[in-house]
Amino acid sequence: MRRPPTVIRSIAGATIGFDISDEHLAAVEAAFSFVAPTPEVVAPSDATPAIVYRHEWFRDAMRFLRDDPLRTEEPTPVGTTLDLLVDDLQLSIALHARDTVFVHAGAVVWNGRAIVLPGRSRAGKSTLVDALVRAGATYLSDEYARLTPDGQVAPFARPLHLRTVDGRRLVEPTSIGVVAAEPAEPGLVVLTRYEADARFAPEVVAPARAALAVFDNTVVAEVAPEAATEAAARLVGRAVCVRSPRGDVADTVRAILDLAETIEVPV
Amino acid sequence: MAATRREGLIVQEVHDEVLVFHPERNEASALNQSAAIVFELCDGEHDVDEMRAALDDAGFGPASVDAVWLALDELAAADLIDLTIPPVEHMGRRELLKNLGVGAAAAAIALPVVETIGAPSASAQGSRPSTTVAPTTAATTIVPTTAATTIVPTTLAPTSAPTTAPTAAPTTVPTPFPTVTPTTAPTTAPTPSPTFVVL
Repeated sequence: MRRPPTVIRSIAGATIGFDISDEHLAAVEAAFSFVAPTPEVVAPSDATPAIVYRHEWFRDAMRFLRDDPLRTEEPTPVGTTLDLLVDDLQLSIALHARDTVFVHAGAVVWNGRAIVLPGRSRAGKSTLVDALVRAGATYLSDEYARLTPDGQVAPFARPLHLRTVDGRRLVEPTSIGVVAAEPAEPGLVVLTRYEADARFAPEVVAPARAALAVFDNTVVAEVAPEAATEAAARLVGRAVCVRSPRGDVADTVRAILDLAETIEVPV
Repeated sequence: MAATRREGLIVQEVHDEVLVFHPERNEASALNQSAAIVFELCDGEHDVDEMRAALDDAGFGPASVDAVWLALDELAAADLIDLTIPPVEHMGRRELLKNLGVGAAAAAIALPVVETIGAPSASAQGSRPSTTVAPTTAATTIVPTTAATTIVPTTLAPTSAPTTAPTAAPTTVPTPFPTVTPTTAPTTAPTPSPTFVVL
């Protein structure tokens, strides 16, 4: 039987229970200040969170557990460090958010329109987003495009996670450019992934096929398919969608920004 | 012939095309415009001739009955419709494609295409973090760059070919992205995208 959580917070539209120390909770709230500067405190009488994080002692060490029936039937260890807890929480928020649909995608704003770069892990999203922001685009996210009910792309401006040979490096987006404070209308969806020696040569993708590709990167595709299909169709319906493998990041950035300058968004 | 849409499907229109989710199979399908037209008429009331006429009306004409049958075959393969037909009426897909290979080119028909993928599972989502995590400090010596000021317009070549039909029976899949598993195999993405205006 699940124990009730000690505290409940609403972060980016996801209601999450915590049974962890005050210090860890404060650190978690600080880690998500980019999306929830002051996380909403939810009274246990007002909500029963679908997901709960707790800590426990296991073999003389403290570890965090996630209890999320959407992913696993049994509570799942997520690690012993705060970084691992925060990583896991990001996906949990994406999965449990009820006000927006999260799509695995990098996202920036150029000329007032969002450029969305759907792709799973290791597709090179963060590298491309990093280069786009350094080229003057406004940062939305390197991991999740949050699609609002009215079809806009909202920021999830976490620190950029850049892979290195021995792990990863986190980069504060404000150190490389401007961070979006508000959602933006979609303008361009770019389906791309890194391939050695590839040259970025974008081709327009037909609408349903583009929506299918976005759906394939939607976090709630399996658990909330109606919301996922609707959000994918709405995004594609209001943007131009292109696809190409990419090689050199600098050439790709130039080509994407050129495209964003020249496209005319369907109405 | 009776073709009826499955119950419980989640259907989203995207311009003139359709995205369909099949809850029982946990799959999503993309229907190009000609497949979407036929799908719309799969209500058990319309016959093949009426579907062919609808393709004509939508600008895909003169459409052949084979194009309708191909659409029905694609939709049935994705389990989006229940297709009840006398066996003698139903040619195999290969034969339909063979017939359409020449005819489609002459008639400039955009072949119906249905692409289907499985919905990504919640448990498989996300990227596991690296085992070694660098300190969560920001880069220290990076100066924001200003926006690029000289931009050269890019010429874009659409994959869609609204005015060009396949010249032969399709044999390969049109460069899908990872995990996209088309149920059919035309050589081009034939759906016109008139709303995608590229200057």
